[in-house]
Amino acid sequence: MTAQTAKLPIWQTVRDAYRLVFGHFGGMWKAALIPTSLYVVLLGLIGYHQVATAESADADGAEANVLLLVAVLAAIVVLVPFLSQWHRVSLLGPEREPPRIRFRFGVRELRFLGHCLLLILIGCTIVLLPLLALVMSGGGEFAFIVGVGLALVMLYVIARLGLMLPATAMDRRTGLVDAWTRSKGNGVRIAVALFLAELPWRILNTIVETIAEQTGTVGLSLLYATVTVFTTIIGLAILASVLAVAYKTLAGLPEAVRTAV
Amino acid sequence: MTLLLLLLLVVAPIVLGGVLGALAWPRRPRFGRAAGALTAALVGAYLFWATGGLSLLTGANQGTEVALGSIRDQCRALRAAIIDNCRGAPGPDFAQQCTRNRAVFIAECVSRRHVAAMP
Repeated sequence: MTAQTAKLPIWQTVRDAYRLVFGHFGGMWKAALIPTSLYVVLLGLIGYHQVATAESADADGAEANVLLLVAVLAAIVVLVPFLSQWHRVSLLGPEREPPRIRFRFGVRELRFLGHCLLLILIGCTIVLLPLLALVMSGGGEFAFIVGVGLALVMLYVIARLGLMLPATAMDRRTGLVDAWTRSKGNGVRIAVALFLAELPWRILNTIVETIAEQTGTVGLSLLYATVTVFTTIIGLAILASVLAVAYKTLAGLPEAVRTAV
Repeated sequence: MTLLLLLLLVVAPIVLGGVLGALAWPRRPRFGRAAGALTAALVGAYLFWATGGLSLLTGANQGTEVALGSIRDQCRALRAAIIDNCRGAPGPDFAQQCTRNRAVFIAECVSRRHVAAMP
């Protein structure tokens, strides 16, 4: 708690997060193996369903939306054990917490899932509700500008409350107030660190997506899907590491594990 | 079927809201549960109202199938236009058109449940 007012070093946090992921790349994939496999199966099922419904004339958009929502929720559930394990690896270090091929879904993972859902719902509430009200009142072009502003606010709030995730992975009792207090004075720094860490993967995804869309071949679409899976998993691991490093810097951990990174 | 819908649309979100509320305020779980359930109920009610769920439930849309069908066709046409405008947009005019069409699409089609899939 002594480091609570310390300023989070942005570049060092991003560098530490990348070092954690790429310095233990094999270990990261060990931890991600089963969740990623399930994620790929899930994506395959969604793709199959989309192709099947696209052929039928009565394909309804509402059904597609419900399916998308279910798919997103299932993807979160499937990836939670990996994210929880990777938070622990980032906080304790691979020596103390060696990454394992496993799919553990106990109380810790359930709490982690709950906190993930809480963050998603808070993020959606910040952006979607005001935007929906604005669009329904007819403010079409203005809605775009407001949308960008709300997205920035969402990033800031999620960055501050995101410190709940590493705390949960370490089985510490945490909540909104706890995360907000710990991140006091560092919200923008955490948000910028998350943004910078995620940026290269976003750019890579956009480039591959653009190429796949413009050429439109099946092979490139498959390549895009494969690249997306890899970049999603690596991107999530880096974001988890950024939050873990930020948590360690701001909240501190017992002396025995402080030297992990 | 009605009971199942009631469970899915009303009871489940409120229970989930309560559980998440308790996670959000671990030091005061009872307050967290109540606040979470209340927030879920309020947000759910707002979304239900904003997306035209109320009229669907009260049957206000019954008997307007023909009109709805034609709006659906318009929305599908608009969706196709958005795909044309937005993918590989070659200039600012196209991007502007894309943004405008998207806004109209959300207001006229998505939020009124005529066509829910946003391209």
